[in-house]
Amino acid sequence: MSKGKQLWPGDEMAAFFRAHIDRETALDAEAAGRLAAALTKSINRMLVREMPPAPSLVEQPSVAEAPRAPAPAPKRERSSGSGEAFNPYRFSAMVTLAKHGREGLMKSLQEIKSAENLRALAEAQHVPVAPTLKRTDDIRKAIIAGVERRLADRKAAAS
Amino acid sequence: MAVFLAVANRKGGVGKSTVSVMLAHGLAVYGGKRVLLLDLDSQCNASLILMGGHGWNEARKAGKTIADYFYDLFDGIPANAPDYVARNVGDVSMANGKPAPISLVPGSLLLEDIQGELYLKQASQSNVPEIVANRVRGRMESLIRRFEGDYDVVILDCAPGLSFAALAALKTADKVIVPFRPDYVSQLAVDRVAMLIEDMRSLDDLAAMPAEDRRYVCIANYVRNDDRDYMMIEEISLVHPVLETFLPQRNGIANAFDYIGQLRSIDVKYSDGAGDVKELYQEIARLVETVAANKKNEVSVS
Repeated sequence: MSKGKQLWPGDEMAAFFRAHIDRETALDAEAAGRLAAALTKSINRMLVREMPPAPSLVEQPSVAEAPRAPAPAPKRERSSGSGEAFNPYRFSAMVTLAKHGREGLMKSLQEIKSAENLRALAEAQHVPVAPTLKRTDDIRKAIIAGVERRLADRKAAAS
Repeated sequence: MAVFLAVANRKGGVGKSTVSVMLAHGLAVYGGKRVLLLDLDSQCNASLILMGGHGWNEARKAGKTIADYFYDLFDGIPANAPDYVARNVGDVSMANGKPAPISLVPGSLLLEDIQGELYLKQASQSNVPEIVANRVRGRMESLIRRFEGDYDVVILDCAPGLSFAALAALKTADKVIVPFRPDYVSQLAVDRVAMLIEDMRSLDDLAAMPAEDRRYVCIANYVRNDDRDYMMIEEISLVHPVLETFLPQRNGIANAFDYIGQLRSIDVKYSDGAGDVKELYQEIARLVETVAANKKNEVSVS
């Protein structure tokens, strides 16, 4: 139970209450902030047995007094997959084929050693590979052919 | 002289209206631009976001919607374009506490019906469907252009599909912003609308066109912070220019599109999405400046 996930973080809850208090009442900013913070605290306590929030979220009574800080945009970078679980999106087979041709794609696929991971990449990137193929080299060739079909299909759809 | 930005995609549900409104807020608040938004979508989402249900209903009762505007002025009935404009709409304030300088020609549920009527009117003058369609679209285009002198930026929030109004907007636009979701269906939709904008017959021809010459640019919307979405964006970027800025799935953005009728700062309105609006503004502002400079040069040369 202690590892439940807080689905409604305290600062969002406080901002929600604050917006309604501002809309429905004529309270000044300080009073509205206090009320929003008090409501947030109370509700967090009610939810605590099911979904305990991180302490930093519940122990910030002043959070409703200021707009929530803009969150930084996530970086558009993909993990390489090295040293961690295999990432089937480590590169786009379609983009690699379009930019570097069949040889370029084969080179990238050769860096993936197991049939299981090659299949995972194909599955994730919507490239059909016959389940009867066992050898890794055959799977790589099937992926290249499948990506070529996908590219041709995209062009046909746009025609 | 206004810069016309159309926000368009034949596919629905990609965030055309929300991107339109975010652009209006960003350009008005951060850029101090006089912004007009034409709601060309009969769903009227942008109007509801900027005026609320009551304000929009009042505009309908007063006959001051985009459908009224097209219908009344189509045959040259003497009426003033500014009469159809609602001023200082939205619930976002400038730094000085005044309303953001955003104007709106509100949307109408009747816009599609009106377009049908205008087509039938024109059909009495020609029996060639293509000529009739071009006349309707051309007339709408000239009516959209009437707002050129009074604003810095005119945002054309298009409906999904290809109505006459959407086609007129695509023709009028100096730049078309194409929002998309990072998924396979959106990829096909972006390919199609891009070919339409650039009048290309094949994706290979389009891909061969330098990105800087294109009249459109795409923006990824509803992006989840995961590799699959980033891969889809990369696949779309293979053929299309895509803004560096992308809009993540965020509560702050989703909640910002509720009209509360009380002025608040852009930071309060967008909460944790305020940074996204600013980033979008900064990239679009550069586009707008380039287009405005080019238009100025064209005028001075001619």
